[in-house]
Amino acid sequence: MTFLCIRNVGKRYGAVSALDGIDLDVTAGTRTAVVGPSGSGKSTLLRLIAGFDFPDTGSIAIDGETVADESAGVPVHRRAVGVVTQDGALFPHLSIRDNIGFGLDRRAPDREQVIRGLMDMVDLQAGMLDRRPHELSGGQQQRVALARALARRPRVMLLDEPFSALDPGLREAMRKATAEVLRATGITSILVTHDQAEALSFAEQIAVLRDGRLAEAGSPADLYWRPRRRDTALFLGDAILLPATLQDGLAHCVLGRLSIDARLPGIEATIMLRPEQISLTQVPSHEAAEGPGGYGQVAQVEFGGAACLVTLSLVESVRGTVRSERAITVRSAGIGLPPVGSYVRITVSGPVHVLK
Amino acid sequence: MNKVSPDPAGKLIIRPDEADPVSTPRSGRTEPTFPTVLGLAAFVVALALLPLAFVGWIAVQTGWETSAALIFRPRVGELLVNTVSLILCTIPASIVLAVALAWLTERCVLPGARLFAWLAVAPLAIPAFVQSYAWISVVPGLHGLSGGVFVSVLAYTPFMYLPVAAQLRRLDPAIEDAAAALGDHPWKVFVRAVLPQLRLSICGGSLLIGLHLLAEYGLFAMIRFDTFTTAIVDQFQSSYNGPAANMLAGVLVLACLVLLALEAALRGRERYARVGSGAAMVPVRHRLGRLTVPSLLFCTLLACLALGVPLLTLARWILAGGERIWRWDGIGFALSETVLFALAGALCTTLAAMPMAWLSVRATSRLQRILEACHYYVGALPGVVVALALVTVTVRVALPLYQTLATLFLAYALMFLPRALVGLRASIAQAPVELEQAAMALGRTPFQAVWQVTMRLAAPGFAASMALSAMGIANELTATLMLAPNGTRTLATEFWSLSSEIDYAAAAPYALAMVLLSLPLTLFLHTRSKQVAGR
Repeated sequence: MTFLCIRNVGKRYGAVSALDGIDLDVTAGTRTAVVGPSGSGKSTLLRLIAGFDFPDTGSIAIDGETVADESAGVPVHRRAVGVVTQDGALFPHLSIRDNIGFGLDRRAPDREQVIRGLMDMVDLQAGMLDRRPHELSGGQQQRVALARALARRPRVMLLDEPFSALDPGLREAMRKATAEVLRATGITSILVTHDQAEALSFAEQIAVLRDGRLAEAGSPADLYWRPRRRDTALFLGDAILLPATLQDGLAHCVLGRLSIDARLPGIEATIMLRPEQISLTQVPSHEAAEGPGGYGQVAQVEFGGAACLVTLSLVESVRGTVRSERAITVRSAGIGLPPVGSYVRITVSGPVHVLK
Repeated sequence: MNKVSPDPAGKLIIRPDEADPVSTPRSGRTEPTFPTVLGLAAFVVALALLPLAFVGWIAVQTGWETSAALIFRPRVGELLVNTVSLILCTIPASIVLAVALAWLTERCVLPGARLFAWLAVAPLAIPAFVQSYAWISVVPGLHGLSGGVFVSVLAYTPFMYLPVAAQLRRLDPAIEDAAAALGDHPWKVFVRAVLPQLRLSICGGSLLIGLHLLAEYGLFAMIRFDTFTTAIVDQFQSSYNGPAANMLAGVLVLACLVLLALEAALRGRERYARVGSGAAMVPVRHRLGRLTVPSLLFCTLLACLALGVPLLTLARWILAGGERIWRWDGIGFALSETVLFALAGALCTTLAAMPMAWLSVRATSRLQRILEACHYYVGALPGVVVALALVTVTVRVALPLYQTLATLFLAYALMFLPRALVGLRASIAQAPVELEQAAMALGRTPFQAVWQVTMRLAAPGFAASMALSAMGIANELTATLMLAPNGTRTLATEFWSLSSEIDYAAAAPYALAMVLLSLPLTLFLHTRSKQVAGR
């Protein structure tokens, strides 16, 4: 069931178009990530959904109620949305208790209970209730911000890069904890981020913005393995793009014959595969010279601990001759790295994706 | 930071710096709070434009023939000559003294430089009319242009010293080094490399002194030197709301506008900020050598004239007066009324400045800049013009308000609006807009969000603005004399009536109380100018 419905939304700031013709549906109780490079309009979209700003064209509806269209808009305080920003935006003059209780009725008899319940939900000690925001660590501040936003039981939770100010280890833990809380409460949520890994692991739906337009939307796995556009493929992770000829449900390319994920008419196309699909086996040089394809010579090895980068010159295998024309970079386990100059056989697991 | 230039007795000119680090919000359709706040700010602006509207209205009402007859007469010419020559003599003298003093205290190896820096600012604690009261009792023959210039220079040079010293402290010594390395003699280095850098501060200081000279009543009335302001007050006291006083007020407003325009033109548009990266070096202090003793004498002499003479005179009158002058009921009453007026007036002023302060941080636009300029301009008007405008308006339109506290507080609010605006603006700028938005996302209306979060966080700025305005109001004389209800006795008006009766001894305790009340402001300005320079 569509809970949040965005139709043809556009927004201009002076002569600059920040958003143009955005259509997006979000199912009730799910998590959606809006990703895109900086300047792609993702924060603007969030501001429009929150009601800090209003669209010039199009409409936004939450739970069937139109909250903004060309002529009118419901202001933020009457939209029942929760917002968590990059730095938490906690009120420095209030204690943690009063921060969390800011949106609650002051005279509610169960106020203290609700606040404690929220503290518990975001995994904070009740002993912190009387502290001031500046006495908390960055991660704790974000938890308080989340609890504060949850207190009003928002219809939609909007997360504006809430983890990007945290250090890497903490970021991952916070992301997991936040996703868990949102899943448990069943609140429809939207996460804006420029970190594709964060988006892939957090969300059930991903919307990729590019230059103010919606480039693509879909499930994380769909977008990662089967993007429609080249720039989406590259934005969501490292990708190897190769020219290929499609024939009989196979792609013929410099890596040999590879199975593809869709039946398409036999034409020249570009195929995409992710580096983790590739595994390397060291082979003697004569095998590379004679093999039917999918061989390479190690040009460079960059040691990186668990994952190392191996740059290969691909061997176009025409029997008897060895020609290196194209280079690819592959991620390989840190153990058993082939030495520079040696030959390797390239094995591709899983089907490769054909870009149109 | 804004440029703040101070004065315990009269007014304060504050102008936002070009490079003000105030966050610039997005343009586009604005949030629903803006119309309400804009309406409030526009209301304040309408009040601020009242004096100007009054002058225009009077000119139209009186008609060209009568106006011309009232303006083009020997008396006005005489006043104009007096006022112009006062300005032309006082400002250059102040520039020379202030630049020399600032150079010695900031950039030379002078024994006791810190003390002298203090002594150069300290005369600010002495209201200008107390300064002239002190001198007239030491030199009873003091009068006319020479007397006026002499006392004005002593009273107002700190206004020039403060910005010039701050600028010298900020100046990148690399510029001087570069000029010296190009083969210039030290004196030539000063003229060619340093002096041009001081242009902004000298222009600012000159404008401030000029506006004070136009607005000051007490100083010149005491030594019987006629300026436009003294003439207006005299006219007002003899004939109340006559067309002659109103016409003079019109000329005075014109003179103020000419000064503002002149300063804007002279200020130029060149760049004075550092070009290039990296932190500026700490300036090297020059050795004075054989000039040390004359320099010390110069600084000491100035301190004695501007500070020693008034304080000694006060002490002498207090000693001479003995127990007779300590009539505690009178002093206590005046003191409590002054404090009450100052606090209530400051509260009005700061509340009036709030909408504009919020707008200028959160919603910069062309309209906002125009409204803000109106807030600043009214602070440049002499108190006598503001008072005259309010007298006319209340008498003609709202008679029940004539000579009420409400009108007096309105006059205070208009005169000290810039002071209140500056402090508020800076502290609102420090409350992030994200907090306001967070409060709205948590169900507060925009107005509640601003009030409960931003204004709560801006409370220190509110307090500072109130303090600045309160200290200005505590020493205000002209508008209080003209507008206050009968029976009002503040420190300034009591001092004035006693010294007008030549009972200098009885006036001394009131003067002392005003000096003591002004000390915190002086201290504040001194430390603040150090902070601006980052030391």
